Amino acid sequence: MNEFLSAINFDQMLEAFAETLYMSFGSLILAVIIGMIIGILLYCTQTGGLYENKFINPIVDLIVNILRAVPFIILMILIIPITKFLVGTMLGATAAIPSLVFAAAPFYARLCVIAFTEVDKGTIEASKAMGASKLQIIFKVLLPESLPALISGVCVTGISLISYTAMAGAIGGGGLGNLAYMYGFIRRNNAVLYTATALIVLLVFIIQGIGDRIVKKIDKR
Amino acid sequence: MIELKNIVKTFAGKNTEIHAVRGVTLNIEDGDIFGIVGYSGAGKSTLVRIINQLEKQTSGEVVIDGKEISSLSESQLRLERQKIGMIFQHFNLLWSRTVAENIAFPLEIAKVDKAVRQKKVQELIRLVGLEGREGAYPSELSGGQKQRVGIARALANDPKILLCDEATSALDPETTDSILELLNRINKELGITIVMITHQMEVVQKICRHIAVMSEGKVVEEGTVKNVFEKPRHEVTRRFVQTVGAGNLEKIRSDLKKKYPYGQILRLIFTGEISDRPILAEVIRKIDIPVSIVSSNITMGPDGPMGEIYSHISDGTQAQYKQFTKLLEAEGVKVEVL
Repeated sequence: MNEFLSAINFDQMLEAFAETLYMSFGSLILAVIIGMIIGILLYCTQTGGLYENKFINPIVDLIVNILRAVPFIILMILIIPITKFLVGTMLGATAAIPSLVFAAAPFYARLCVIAFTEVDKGTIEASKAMGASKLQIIFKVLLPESLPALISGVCVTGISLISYTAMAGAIGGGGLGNLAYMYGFIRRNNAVLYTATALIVLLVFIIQGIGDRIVKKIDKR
Repeated sequence: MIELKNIVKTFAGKNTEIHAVRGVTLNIEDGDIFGIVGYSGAGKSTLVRIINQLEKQTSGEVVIDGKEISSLSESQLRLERQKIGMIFQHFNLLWSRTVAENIAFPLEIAKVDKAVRQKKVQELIRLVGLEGREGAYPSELSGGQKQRVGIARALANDPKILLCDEATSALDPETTDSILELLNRINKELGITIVMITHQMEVVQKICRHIAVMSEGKVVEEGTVKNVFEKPRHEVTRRFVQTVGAGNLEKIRSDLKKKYPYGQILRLIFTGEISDRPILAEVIRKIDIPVSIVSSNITMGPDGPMGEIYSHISDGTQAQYKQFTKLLEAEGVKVEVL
């Protein structure tokens, strides 16, 4: 046991853990904001939507589909120029964020559209009948009525992001993924490999647990 | 007053056009309870949605209190809609809001001050009889209670019109009665015009004063409930009237004749405009003849008992039968000798 523990540099482990948290949550916040805006845009511009638009909808839909289709590891490489422009470098935790957001925002947008589609059309009709404006319908009906699904979507996106950060780590993004790959796998340090993996698993469990609890609390259906 | 002038609504289907409403002209007076009856697909739901412009008509005019609704701008229309309440078959409440918050919702939309809003919500909760359930969520309510919330919500902005889209179709008969009672009270106390879409004839019989029967996008028969029930002219109307027991006269007549070959069989028609006094008992007491009720279908209409009673007089003279008939007719009951 002591041998196992002595093989781990705890400062390094802690720093990697902090980097993973920073990359995951930093990109999660951005991805949720951008994804929700795209989700609302997609939902509202679809045929029969509040702001039906036969021009914008298919274009946004296509972009979302392309970004969702490209594997993350390739997406990361493809957007290196954008990353360099935004962050100035392509190494380190901050440099991983643009590619993480590019991957997660379309994913969350899709989850938002699913959540909005599940809102009872009848309640939207009732709100129209009461004289609600389109913005009132979005902010007072659509978002509150789909909140549990939106929040569980945040969890799912967050968990995907944690696994993406591990991949980002492999090409120099830092974090637990980088640690597990560079020190655990390349240098054959099993203690580091297992500990880093355990921390990632733990993080996923915590996020899922918190998410489930919040959803249960606010879901009054 | 709601005036529908030659309303046509055509939906563009995939290959064909669907003619939901084909030229409907109707006038609905202020303070009326107007029933629009028809089978599913008759166009009645589309028609009621044209009244508050949830659907735009293909052609024709909707005039409410002299104002042409269909030519209003988006924002004018929103203001107008605040004065037209609507309730639905599936209630369409917001599950994320409590009873009180659901009722407050249209007031929020109309940007009413919070203090005024809370007072109004309390009044409405009392009106629909949901005291003590303010903090409950819709999922914790029964169907009848949900519809009460729907009604309170529809009344929040003091509308002059209440549109009911199959408002009782998802409720059991007992709950239906209590909701109809509430609607009737609202109509009487607040003077709100009620337009009811339904396929349940007993609903019309219980609360409506006027009725329009729709079939295949057209109004095939229109008039007071009394007239339409007594003398249904169109085939669809006849079928509807039969669902509540009336109208199937021939069969009832021959069945009763077979069963009671002697004495006299009378059909007593209550038109809903007579008092609640025990008329029948009083008349029987005056002329001492053995009257038995063999079949009856009476419900309380908005103004009094409505429906018919088949009675058999097993013994008596022609003079007594005549006297019996005369006394009943004096009380406003129509009597038919079968």
